[in-house]
Amino acid sequence: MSSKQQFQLFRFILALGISLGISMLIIFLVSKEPWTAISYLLLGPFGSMRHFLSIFAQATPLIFTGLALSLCFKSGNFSMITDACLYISAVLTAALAIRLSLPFPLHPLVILLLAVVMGGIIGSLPALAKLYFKANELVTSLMLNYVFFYLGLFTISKYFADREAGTFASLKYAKTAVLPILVKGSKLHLGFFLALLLAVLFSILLYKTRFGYELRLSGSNPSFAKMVGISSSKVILLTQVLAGMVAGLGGAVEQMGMYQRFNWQESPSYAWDGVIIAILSRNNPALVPFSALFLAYIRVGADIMSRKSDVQNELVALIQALLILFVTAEAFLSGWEHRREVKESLAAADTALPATEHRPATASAEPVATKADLVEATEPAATKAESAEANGLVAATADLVEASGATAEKSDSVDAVKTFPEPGKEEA
Amino acid sequence: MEVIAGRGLYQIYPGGVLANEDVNLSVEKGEIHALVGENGAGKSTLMKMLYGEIAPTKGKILVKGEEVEFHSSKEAMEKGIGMVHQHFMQIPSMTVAENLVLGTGKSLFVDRKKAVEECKALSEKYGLQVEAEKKVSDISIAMRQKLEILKALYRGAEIFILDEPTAVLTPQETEELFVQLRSLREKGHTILFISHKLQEVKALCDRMTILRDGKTMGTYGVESLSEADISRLMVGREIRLDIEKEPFSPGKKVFSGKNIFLQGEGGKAILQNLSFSLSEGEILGIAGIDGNGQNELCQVLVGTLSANGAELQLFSQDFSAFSVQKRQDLGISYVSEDRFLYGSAPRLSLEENAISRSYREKALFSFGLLNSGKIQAFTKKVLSAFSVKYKNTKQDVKSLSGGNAQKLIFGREYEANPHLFILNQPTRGIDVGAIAFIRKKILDMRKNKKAVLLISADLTELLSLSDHILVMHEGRFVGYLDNDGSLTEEELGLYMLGVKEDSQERIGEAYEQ
Repeated sequence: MSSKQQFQLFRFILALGISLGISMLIIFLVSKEPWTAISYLLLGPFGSMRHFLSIFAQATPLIFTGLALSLCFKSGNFSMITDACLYISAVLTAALAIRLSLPFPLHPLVILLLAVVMGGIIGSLPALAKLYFKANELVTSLMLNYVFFYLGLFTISKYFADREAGTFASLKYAKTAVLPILVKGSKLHLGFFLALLLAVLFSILLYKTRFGYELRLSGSNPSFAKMVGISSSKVILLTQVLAGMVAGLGGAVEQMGMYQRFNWQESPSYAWDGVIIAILSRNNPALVPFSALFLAYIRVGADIMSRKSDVQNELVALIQALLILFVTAEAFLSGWEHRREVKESLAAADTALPATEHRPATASAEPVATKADLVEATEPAATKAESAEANGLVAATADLVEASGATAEKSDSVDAVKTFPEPGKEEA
Repeated sequence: MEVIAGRGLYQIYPGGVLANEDVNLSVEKGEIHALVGENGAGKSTLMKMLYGEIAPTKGKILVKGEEVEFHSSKEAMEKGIGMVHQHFMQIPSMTVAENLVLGTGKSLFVDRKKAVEECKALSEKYGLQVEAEKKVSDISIAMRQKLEILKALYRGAEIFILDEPTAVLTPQETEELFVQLRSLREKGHTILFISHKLQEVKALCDRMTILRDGKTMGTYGVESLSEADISRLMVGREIRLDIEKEPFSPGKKVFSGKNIFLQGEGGKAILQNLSFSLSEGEILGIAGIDGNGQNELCQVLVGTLSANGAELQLFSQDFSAFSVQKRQDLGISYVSEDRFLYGSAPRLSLEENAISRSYREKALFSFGLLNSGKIQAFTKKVLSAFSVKYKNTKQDVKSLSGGNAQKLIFGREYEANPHLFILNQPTRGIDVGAIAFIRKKILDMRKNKKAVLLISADLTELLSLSDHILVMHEGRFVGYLDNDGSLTEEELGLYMLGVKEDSQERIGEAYEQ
């Protein structure tokens, strides 16, 4: 693990600690039985097998959307069409689960396949609009989300609604169109492992293939990617189609794994949860399942807490918000990081730089350097005298480290100006 | 009397870049004090600390003997420090007078009439002629610079920091600026003049402080040092690179480009009818003031800009219609003018940046997937062949010094073993060691019978490396010169400024059938 990764891990754990700490403080302020509430929040999910397994069930759709959005953000595209992809694919799943009659393994397989295609098609729309009309993908995707949401709602209530249900619900799905439950009495279904598999595949795609490299390069510095000869249109389109396909799959899996009727009268917030997951995972697919499980754990805990104590489960939103605030705040702990860098670079400078002469008057007596001298002179081995001097300066470094603490805050603002914005974080 | 001073100043940027190290500076009232040093020596960093834009990591700043700790440039302004940035801090859509008073008044609205009066009065008083009612977008660069000085004066500045003010000026405008600066000095103002042009420092300044590698090399009266002494203090040794270049013996023709035209927005011609060719073992230099079409020419050759009708050939194969990557595969390498914008992805690792050409090659794959061991080995090979100083191959390119980042980029393109190597400002703003290293590699290319197109703003570099030099002015070639040892920088300068121009026949010789 590089020192940078160590720093990021440390920062994440600290951010988590602080956000949980603040949340607990609030529990103490509002609750008459704070200890009960806290213990249900943190330990409740481990209280029974059913609760424990529901963490995995709840994490499943979050992994799908988290992967979709990580991929988009990594490539520097801020399409939120994931929402529509998921919703429409879920509608399609409902339609096929109701109307299609096929034997068991075939029925869900056909549905999954068609849902993936549907997700890909819808995912491509903002990308195409961007390529052909230079329309900002964030705006078009958010608008299209409404279009597709109402289209889906219309389809269900017009053609598939169960008029006897008394509330908004579709007809029941065929018994053949279900994903197998893995542990009896729980909601853990096959979809979770499908999601894990996808996380692995996406990691490979992103870090082990040509396209993944092109995607990362385009996302990190589009101007450089252009010079390298990477087609930005290809990256934009393919990324968003892939993201749409994953989201579509997520919608189908969720419907067949968790529901017997379609009753999403409001669009589920999985796409927005996906943004949270992508941020927590720093757009790294390998970390997406962990972030999703963590979020699901907090939610299951909060759910139990709200049922068994006097604290509402809206507290989850608070923990989430605080966590994201600290994880994304570039300046959080950067003073600490900067101090370490100061120490390192001073130590390096003292040993690497040759001693410089302050002898202008005599300097002209030096012979003109030849080519060979010039090249060699640039990497001189540190002489004994220099390293002795270096030791002296290392001691001085300690003061410097302290001094920099006071100025850390100011240097942060310098950083903001100096460094390039990282797309995934700034605009997400 | 000492008006502004820095004592033991350190500045370490995030990422661990040591920009200033134990810097000492002392400026007397009423002098023009030069701050000289190479690009990247830490001049701008020092200025930013004095002007309160960044806080020193360690060290003291004294203004009129009083220790200060600025939290913003506003506080520096209140102490009478004014800065003229290289990139003007102005709003182009507003008038000169509006820009002058912007952000100073207490009331919510700008009194335009009063602003114009004040602008005229101030302009009169200091002899800095500006047109108060014109929009900034409509005035010349020189006038914008005067406005920048007026802005500082308006805010009560007594100490002026000018960051390479002559970089954007013609020689005549520079002369005029010097007259104005001298008159400011007579009025008792103090000027800190940043430059790396020694003649200007000699002509204008009283004393100078020399910076090298982020350290002060001492303060001297300008009379006491010769230009050779100054340059030695600036760079550590005289950079003489009229190194044993083997005699020019061109081989087969490698590249030829014919009728390269390029139109910009609004139909303005950016490149006009450029034709030239390159042979094996030839270094063709392109001189010209920045922004005369050099970058666009590179982009046309690399394939990121398309010039309709141009005929581009490599070993007689027409590649005008090829994509960027197909051109690379054909044997074209390119080092761009801006290493962190076009040359690398600064936030990605050394590995990810090193493979930007080879990521398409089978050599880095096993079982159809990129192999991290192979990537690391390849990266290390490039890094060590170009003696890049690094900690590990996973660190960000951003954390390398300019010279090391440039060596990585240069090395990546060099390792592709191209037939045509296009170098756009290959040594701009990097340390002397890296410059020498890269120049040596360029000559190695020549020895290995490669064709090198060298675009550089550094005339010494062009004169010491090139076999021929083409001069660009406003998108045209205006001179084709044999670099036979008698060519001087002054001569080149005349072409670059458009004063001198060769005949069409002579320029046509750059293109051989």
